[in-house]
Amino acid sequence: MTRVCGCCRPRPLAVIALLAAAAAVYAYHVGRAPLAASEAYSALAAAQASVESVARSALSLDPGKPVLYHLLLHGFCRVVGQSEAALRSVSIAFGVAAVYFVFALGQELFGFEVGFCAAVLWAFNPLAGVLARWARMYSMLIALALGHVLAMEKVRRGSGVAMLLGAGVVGSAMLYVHFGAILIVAADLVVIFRELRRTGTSRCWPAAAIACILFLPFVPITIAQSRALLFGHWMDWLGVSKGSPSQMLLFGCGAAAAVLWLGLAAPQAERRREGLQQCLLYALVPMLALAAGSALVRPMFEVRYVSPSFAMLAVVAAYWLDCGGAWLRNLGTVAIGALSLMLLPLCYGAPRDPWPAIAAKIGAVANPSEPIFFEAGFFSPDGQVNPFPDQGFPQGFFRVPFDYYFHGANPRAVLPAAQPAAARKVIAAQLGHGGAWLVSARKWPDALAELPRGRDCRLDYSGRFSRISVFHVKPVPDR
Amino acid sequence: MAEAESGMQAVQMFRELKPDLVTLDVMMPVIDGIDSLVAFRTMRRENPQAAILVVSAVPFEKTRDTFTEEGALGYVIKPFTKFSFDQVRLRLGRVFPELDLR
Repeated sequence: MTRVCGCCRPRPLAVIALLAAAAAVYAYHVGRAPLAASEAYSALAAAQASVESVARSALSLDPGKPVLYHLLLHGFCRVVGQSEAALRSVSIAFGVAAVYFVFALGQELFGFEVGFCAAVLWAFNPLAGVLARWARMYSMLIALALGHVLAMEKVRRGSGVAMLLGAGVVGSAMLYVHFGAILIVAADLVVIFRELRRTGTSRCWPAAAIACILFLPFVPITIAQSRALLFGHWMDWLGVSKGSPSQMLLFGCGAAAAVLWLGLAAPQAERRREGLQQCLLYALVPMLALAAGSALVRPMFEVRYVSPSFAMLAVVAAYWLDCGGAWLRNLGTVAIGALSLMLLPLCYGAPRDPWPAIAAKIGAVANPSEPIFFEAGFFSPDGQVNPFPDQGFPQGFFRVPFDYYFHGANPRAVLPAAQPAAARKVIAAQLGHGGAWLVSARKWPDALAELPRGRDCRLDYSGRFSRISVFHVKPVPDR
Repeated sequence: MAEAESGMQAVQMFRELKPDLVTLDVMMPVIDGIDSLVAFRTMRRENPQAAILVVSAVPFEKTRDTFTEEGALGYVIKPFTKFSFDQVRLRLGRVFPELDLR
């Protein structure tokens, strides 16, 4: 009979308990908050009738996010429905998987204690909590990126062909989830370069090659979408770089020097130290690349794009705490974990999107014949409008979250972006059916300027829902 | 076979032609005072035997349920694909077995 050592038994139980606690924290009232606008675009793709339509929706309306997440969500929603909780459940599952992979990576590199502490630090921090409850692809990106890095490390330490193939396939899957994964592959290359310098050979370069080869079919779309993202005007990328040429050059050189320093730093004889440098590379290369891109091209640094790097930093933080001894490691982990848990409710209670309230308001008042107008293009959070009418969202960015909550058959129509005179004409022409609604993301005076004026119409209702303005215009009956 | 551009025109043509099958777009190109839901309900009331296929760009299940719970033969999401076309063909084959829809 095999006897289990008493001191080892609590270890798997502790990990299972941590995963269960993370799942409970992520799932707490997950369906209560209404969908945010970007989540509604995930829902739109998932709700399509066929796989082909899902891919088309994701490619046309979610640039920079290839189709894998949307296809998975589509399959999931066909089984469990399209409620807010259902849409977010996929993210919760990947969020819990990410906690496990943080643990497994920390254990692989630095031992059980560091792995467990890293998993605690990651599980309850606000970034992990928010992304695991968001019906977007970021928690899937984190889980796959960590799984890929873990598999690469196992290959580096002598695992067989199956693990090498796994590392390649998972790396490719990560690339099919979000373009941010390209930065993880870039970090792979730097780590492989270090490995070559250290040992004269690399066991894991075939895995990186497999990941890239499997992604080749999507490369033409990647190039086209990257050009649109870098030089077009999409929601998250509004604006151009404001730094002077000398500042941009200085920053670009600084970022390149930091990556070179990390890549060329003397290889460490001790395996733990080398593992730390690899973790730092996976954490810092993506961040520096996006920061340099922001300085050189246009603003593009979003925390969620480099969220896998933050998970890697949890491993680094646990290692550093461990360097101070078991007492500091355990106390530090408990303190940071408790602080994170206290911060989580603040993140969960962030301002909610107003779409159910807007849909309820219009549904309660509207005659089903009255058209509802949206503005074409897209808007920055401060209400600035896209100056290029042929880019962005020609059907109106906010129509999708509205459609998720509004189930009436009122005709939806689009107003030209940033052309108030043309907008007034379009709305006035439709007033004959009893009235018209305008759902506007512009600033209040700009939105008012889009409404028709004169003796033959009147403003029947106006309201502000968060940053969205809603107006109801009615014709004045002939006297 | 006939095509209407607005809800009101659709209801008029429905009364005149008494069709067995109607495909109804939820968001019609011309707004004329009768929206698709009113047109749909009018047709269902006046001839419950007529099969009505609702076509829409809104794929969400609650909007779909609005029509299917009131007796629509099907709710087809635009843009059409071979998959959605096959689904429609199967449903039509069940309702109109005399048709050869292979």
